[in-house]
Amino acid sequence: MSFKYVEKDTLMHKLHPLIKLALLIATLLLALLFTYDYSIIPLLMMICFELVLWKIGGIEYWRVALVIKILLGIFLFFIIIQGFLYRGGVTPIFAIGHLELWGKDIGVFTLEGLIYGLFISAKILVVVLAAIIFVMTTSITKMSALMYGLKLPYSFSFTLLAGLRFAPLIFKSFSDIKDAQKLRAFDIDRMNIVVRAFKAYVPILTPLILNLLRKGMELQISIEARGYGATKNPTQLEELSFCLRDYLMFLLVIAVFLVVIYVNYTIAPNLYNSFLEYLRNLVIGLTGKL
Amino acid sequence: MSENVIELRDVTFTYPDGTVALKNISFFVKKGEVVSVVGENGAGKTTLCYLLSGVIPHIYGGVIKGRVSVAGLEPSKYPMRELSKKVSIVLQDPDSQIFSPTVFMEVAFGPSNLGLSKEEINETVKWALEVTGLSGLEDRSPDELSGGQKQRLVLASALAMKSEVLVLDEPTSQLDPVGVREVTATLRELKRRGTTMVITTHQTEEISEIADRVIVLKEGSIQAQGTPEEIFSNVNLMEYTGVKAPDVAILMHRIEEEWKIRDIEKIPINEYEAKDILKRLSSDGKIKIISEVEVKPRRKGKAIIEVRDVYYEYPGKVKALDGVDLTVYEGDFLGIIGMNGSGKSTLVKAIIGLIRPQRGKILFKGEDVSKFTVGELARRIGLILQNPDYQLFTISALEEVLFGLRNIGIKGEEARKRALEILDLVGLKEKADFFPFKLSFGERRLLAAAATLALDPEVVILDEPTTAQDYRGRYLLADLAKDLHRKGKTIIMITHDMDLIAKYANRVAVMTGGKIILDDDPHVVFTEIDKLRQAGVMPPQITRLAISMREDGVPSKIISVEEFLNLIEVVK
Repeated sequence: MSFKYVEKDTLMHKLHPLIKLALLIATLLLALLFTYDYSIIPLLMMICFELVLWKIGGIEYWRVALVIKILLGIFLFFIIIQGFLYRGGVTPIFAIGHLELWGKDIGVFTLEGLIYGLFISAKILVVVLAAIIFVMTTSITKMSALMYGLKLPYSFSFTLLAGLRFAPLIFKSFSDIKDAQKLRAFDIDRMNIVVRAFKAYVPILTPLILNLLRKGMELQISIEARGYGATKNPTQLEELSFCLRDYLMFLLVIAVFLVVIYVNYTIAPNLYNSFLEYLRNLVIGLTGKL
Repeated sequence: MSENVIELRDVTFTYPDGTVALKNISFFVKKGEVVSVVGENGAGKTTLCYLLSGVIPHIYGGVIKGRVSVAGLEPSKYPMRELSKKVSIVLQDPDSQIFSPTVFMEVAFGPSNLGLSKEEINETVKWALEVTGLSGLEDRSPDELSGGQKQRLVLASALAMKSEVLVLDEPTSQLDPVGVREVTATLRELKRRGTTMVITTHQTEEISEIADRVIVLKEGSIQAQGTPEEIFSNVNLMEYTGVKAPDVAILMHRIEEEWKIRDIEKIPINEYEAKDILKRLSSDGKIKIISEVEVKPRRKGKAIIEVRDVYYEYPGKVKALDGVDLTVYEGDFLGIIGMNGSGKSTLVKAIIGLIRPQRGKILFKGEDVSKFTVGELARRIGLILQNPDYQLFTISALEEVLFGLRNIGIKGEEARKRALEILDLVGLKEKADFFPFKLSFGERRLLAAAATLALDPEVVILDEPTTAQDYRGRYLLADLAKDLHRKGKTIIMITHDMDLIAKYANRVAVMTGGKIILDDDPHVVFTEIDKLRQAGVMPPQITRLAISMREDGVPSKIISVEEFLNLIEVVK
């Protein structure tokens, strides 16, 4: 129930949602555009910028702790996989065995692989941070007004917004039901992964779906009894307008975006190479001593 | 002003599966009248609400015979969006009726669908929030509201439609006592403003202050109609139709019946009238009231659960337990009472190991519970949850019990034998092959209880055993617990139902703000009016009567009609 919009009076909350959407789109472009590992430098610059916005938006860490924890797990997975499998890996850090496969010894964890894993993680992180900033600082009223402004049909935006509101409730039901089944000595946390994937979720998902169906009926009554669909164009409650602050912030986002792109295509490759060289020597020095 | 807003003539309704839910119902409601519909679960109350609001036949199908007219419209002939301008409906569970991110948007949803102008909408929302006492909360998220506030928000949203009739289906049955009082006060305010309402309820005490007329349903037919006084004082009728009669009505009825005292003109339904009648009877020399009452001291067994100085804080610095000390002894039948948010559910979660307290310790028979997994602990402490639908998932009642047994490694013939024994204990042996979702709500609760009891725990905890149950069904689980108590199990009940405590518990702990503020025999606890008020609960009506007659020599430590009757001696 924690990962949701919280009303606050900060610059990020007051900002026109379109600007935050622009930030999200900019980061998506960066993630798609950057394919070489040296781009980790401009990505880190963007992440720093996002962290500043995060701070300004006053987002509390604990509200997104779960999302971050899941992400860290995914990142770790990428780093391990790339560390062993990255084909450009030439500087070994440690080895757990030796097995030649497709021209790469996959038993060896390399420095280049580690950095490539970090690079992929940074690509994901840059987008996720922008998404978190958008969701955590934009009220659903504003999102609704934004969608209206973007000329999306009402039924579509209503469904989307109601879905946004119910997603946390579904997660809560899921964990409540999981607890309820644990009380019947159903130790899901102690089952191995195979059993878990195939059997363990039946006792949880069955009640979840049945309950959601029942709740859905009541929700339908409540929506229809309040005149949903009585007119084609329901009254729009909030209208968005741009002010100076929004223009300035928009310019800032564009400026950061351009600087990041510029850095990527000019100084990043050389800077990265010399940094990598330094790291390589460091690693060789350390592993050589052992 | 005497026009009928609602007219039903010989209405019979049959669901697609053949269940006849309403039989030959005829009644009228005038403009501005408040009509309450009472009766046990399955009597047809919800069906009636759906029929009046057009939910039947537009959302739930079935065959309607006879004539239904609401605000001049026949609900089956107009689509919901047209009907919604004439009649609004409020259901039991506020959580499944609220879907907007802020209070303002929730209330504005209806009027904006009707295409009103922005100014009109602002005006309407302002008015609706004022009537329901929610002004100032416009920008809050509904998640942050209490249960009572949420239900008032649902009410405000319905009001904002400015419809002529308000239909409420058990609007208070999912709320704690504070929530019930809040919503009742709002309903009273609406009545004052002349709103026409049809309200179904189990709460006779609260509704008698609001309703102009009460309709009693049983098995789909109208059994009686009359003023709240006429209906609720008719103890025999209430008994027959499964509706709770007020304690004082039962008391007076029994005085009248058992001692043949004939000069009680009118059976009272509130404690003030009852007090007057009792005073008159005693000053006339008809009865004498004994002022001695003996509370048996409870014997203490061995400590089984020890909660030592436990603190727990939810993320976001929400303090739920603030230094709780509680020792549960073998043989206790302990009730834990308090409002929603007082910490009672968190305490139970900590005891069964679903959460780890940040400070303090919980011991089960001297062993720290943090050593066990939830599953291991479940064999020692069984928790019977409020909502059985969070647990039932198999194709038969028997399978449901076998699931738990399999989890603790009991299989084959032995498991089957034990499962059938447990089903017999809860009275569901004949329905062992039934699909759980075809059982009634009460039976589903018993089945979920059976599934928990199959693990043979030494301590059984019941979470709100009376919620969403009618008068007759509400004690089924508690009776089961009493049976287990007699067989030597230790019982803990979390509840805000004071009648339940009075009837079953031998010890009661009162919680508020994450602390236990009272812990004693119910006879003692119920006389601590100030502390109870602080915790947001009220003693049963019979105790309130006893307390109000303290000056007349009535001892206040009275918690049941039976005990009060024992005080009264008839002068021959």
